[in-house]
Amino acid sequence: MRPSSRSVHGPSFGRRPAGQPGDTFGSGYPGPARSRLGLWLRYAAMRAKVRLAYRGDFALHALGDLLVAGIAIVFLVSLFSHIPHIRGWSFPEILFLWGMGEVSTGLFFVLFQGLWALNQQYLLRGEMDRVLLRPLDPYGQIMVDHLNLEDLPIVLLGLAMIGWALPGLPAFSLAQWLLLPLFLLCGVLVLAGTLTLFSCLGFLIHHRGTAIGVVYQASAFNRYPLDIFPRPLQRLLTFVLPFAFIAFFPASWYLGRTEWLLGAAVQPLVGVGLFVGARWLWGRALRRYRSPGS
Amino acid sequence: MIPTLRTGLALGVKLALAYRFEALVQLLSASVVALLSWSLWTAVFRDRATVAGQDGPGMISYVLVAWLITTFYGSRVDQELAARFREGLIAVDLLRPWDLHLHTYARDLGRAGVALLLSTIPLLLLAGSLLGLKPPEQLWTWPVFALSLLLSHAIGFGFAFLVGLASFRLRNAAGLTHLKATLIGVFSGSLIPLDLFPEPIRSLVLLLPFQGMSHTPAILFTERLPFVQAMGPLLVQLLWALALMLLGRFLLRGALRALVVQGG
Repeated sequence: MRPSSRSVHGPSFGRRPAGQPGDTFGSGYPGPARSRLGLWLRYAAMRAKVRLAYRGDFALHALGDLLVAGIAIVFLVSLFSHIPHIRGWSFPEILFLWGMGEVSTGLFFVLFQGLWALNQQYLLRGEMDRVLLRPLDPYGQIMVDHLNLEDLPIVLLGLAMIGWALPGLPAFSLAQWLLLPLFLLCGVLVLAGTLTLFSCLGFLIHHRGTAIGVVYQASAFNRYPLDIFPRPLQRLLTFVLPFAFIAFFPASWYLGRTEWLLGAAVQPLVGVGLFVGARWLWGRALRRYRSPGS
Repeated sequence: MIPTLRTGLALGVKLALAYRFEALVQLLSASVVALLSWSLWTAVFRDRATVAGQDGPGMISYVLVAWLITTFYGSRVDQELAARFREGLIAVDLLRPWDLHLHTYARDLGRAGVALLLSTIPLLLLAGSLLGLKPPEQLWTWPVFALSLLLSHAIGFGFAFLVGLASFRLRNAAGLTHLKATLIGVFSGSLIPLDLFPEPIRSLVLLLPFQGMSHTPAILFTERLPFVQAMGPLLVQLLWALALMLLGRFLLRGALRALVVQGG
């Protein structure tokens, strides 16, 4: 549990080497950031350094999360060793859909892990006071505070699943290749938007903060073809908890299904719209924050 | 021994009741996953009559029971022990006038008992009325299933306790905790029906202790075996439970000798 001293006092991340005019504090302090973006990057780098100080812990966490995500592969392989398809969806098709969902979910966990800490750490224990004293967006600060690089391997796992599925799928067009990153990123926004929306509840009802866990749990539905579910559930996953937009609608386009083209076309709008709306509401909800005073 | 069990049990019940909101959340999360696997398996059986030798109702009941009872046996003793160690509070635990191993078992049993009443049984009833979970037809199945559940908890606890002890030596349990979750998820039957594994792997998986956690109670509940043959898996469960318990006690002694209490 002891941080290795090398990574804490090692070469600093800033652009200026120590001892230059900006180095007010000596000891490698890189001086004030030149831009807002530079400040965010430096904040993120600081958090990454704190996390990477415990190398062994970091590696174990990464491996553990990867293993848990890998259960799905064992399940899919064993299921499809007995059946050729589920309601007309083949193994490579489900693998591709699952891979897209895994990439978006993995990136979501890298960037938005802070949502899980919001209630307990910031609202009940009152660390929001500290966040509000700084001249930076509070939501961003909380997310960067919990920047979770351990889950990057899950993103790689998702990409590997997509790669594994490709030989069994019809070839993609150039436009499809170019749009793939956009769909994956907007999938992250759908998930982040929905959970940010539910995290606002923490400002209204004080609880120990596992409520968004239930909503997150429901996002597991995004890895299955929508049409295998009963109709009310399909509506729920499209209009109420729009998890079908995370991976299924875009993936259906790649898999040559035409029923959900509209869903695929509006997916980026849904992602951006939902996230922007949720962020705005979160900002409104923040006004109701009362410090616990301890 | 009896007072240790009694105080532990009472403490476990009190702690579990103190976090009623968490019980509600657990209930909701578990039902979301149950709904997901019910939908998936219903879709799978729409195009075929059997998968891996199981028919639709049998497989769906197996999957639901195997998953829902995780709310009962799912022990977090490994994380608790690791946290006590990390914060140095393990020193206080060792000062208390009871056997740490037995006390921890009784406390987790109390936790499981509350979970049984607040989560597992309501979920099973819900699955029975909404998702077509078939209740057992034979009367003897109920006591056998109840006994099997108790043993599945003992195996789950025994394994979690060992993981907790390992964290005394490794100083860090996070990775191990994940590893434990993965092993249980893959090999217990809770997330993947064990009959899905291709043959040599399936037989190997049935030799591991994890199958006693979800697979055995699930095949007993779905009445795959007649009474006399049902005693076999139950006996295997009992042996694994005893083995893990004894191993836990044995390794605890060694771990305490090597224990370094962290200041705080």
